[in-house]
Amino acid sequence: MLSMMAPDGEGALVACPDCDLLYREALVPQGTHACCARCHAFLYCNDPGAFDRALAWTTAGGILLVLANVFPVMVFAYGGKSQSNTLVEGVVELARGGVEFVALLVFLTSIVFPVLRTTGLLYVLLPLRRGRCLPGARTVFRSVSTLEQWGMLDVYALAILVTVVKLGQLAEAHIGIGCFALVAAAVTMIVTGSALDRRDVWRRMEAAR
Amino acid sequence: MKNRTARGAGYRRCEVCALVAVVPKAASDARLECRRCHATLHERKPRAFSRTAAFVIAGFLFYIPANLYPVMTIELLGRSDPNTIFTGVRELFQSGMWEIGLLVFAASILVPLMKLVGLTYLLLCVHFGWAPSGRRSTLVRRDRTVLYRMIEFVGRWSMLDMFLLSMLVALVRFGAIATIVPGIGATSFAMVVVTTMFAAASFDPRLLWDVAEAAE
Repeated sequence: MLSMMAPDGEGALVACPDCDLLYREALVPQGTHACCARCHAFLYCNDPGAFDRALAWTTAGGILLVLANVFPVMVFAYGGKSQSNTLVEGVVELARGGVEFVALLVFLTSIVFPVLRTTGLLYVLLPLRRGRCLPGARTVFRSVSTLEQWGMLDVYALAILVTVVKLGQLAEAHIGIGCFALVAAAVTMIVTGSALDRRDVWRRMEAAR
Repeated sequence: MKNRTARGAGYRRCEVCALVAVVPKAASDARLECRRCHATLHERKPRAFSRTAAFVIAGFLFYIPANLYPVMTIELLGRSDPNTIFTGVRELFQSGMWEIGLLVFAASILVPLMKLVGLTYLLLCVHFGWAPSGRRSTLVRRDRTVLYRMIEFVGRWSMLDMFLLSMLVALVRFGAIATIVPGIGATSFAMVVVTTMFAAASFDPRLLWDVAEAAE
């Protein structure tokens, strides 16, 4: 059964996600956002440039993500030999070492989810900028929103820092091109996440039908 | 309009796209679908309490082997040195790298424990209806909601140790000279990360506010 209409836009009903308090939407000054008076949760914002900014950062993130996956993240020289690693190699070595579950989790959170999130967002946002909505866009955007916190490139970037310091005391450890790309990709994903106005995207999709 | 909740007024907020929908009086038990994004509408996250409790208990159970068994074994020139999460952090402190040690300590020991203890506290608050009355009531419940938001936000960072491991096993493989072998502690720790993230996601902070509304 489909829910009944409740008007959207100014004067629309807004419910707090964290404490369920009910509000009527009022226009807030450009560049600001509205918070719940009771629990201080984020309710909605007024930022007309958010859509374009999110799209720009996602596009940049897509390019960086390819580089981060192709080039070695680190190079480590020990006892006259040197060894470099890419993102996938870490996963393969974990699986070979007998901890398949960890390998799967690392594979999903550092490679699959970031790539899915970026391609998914591009699939939704790019046509939507011209007011078009591709088939399945709603399902894609819904999945992107749920998968958001399972993409963990930012955590990976921090792990690189720890590895450099930890291995640096044993022998020579250098960061590779992949590391720069990965850190930059992590930054683009954080910025995309905070720039993206999800409610605005849903409204645009509704208007595009 | 003041202090009316969506549930009290007969509305449901879509978890996915935030659209607020009217719940028809005749069909309050029927399955409702969001008009905009077609997600199922729930008054509260379904079975939030028992789901969260189950994931928290599972998290506690995995937390024990995660700390007892080695996450990795460092094989250096024929010597093998098993490393648990705790000894890994201690080593960093002992070799004078306390900044990094502190970072790893926060991500792999403090964060999982804070999540498990924090969620247990929130579940107890909901179950026993712990809420002071009067003006302090709102403040206390707001603090609990903030605690929940922190738990939700900080949860991903305990994956740090797993990424560290994935880089170490790939970088340090020089045959007999130096190799790093992952251990079962790693699998347990990964399970702690997954169960606690699921636990945080299945909890509904609105339950913290429902308690007081029932009392008022």
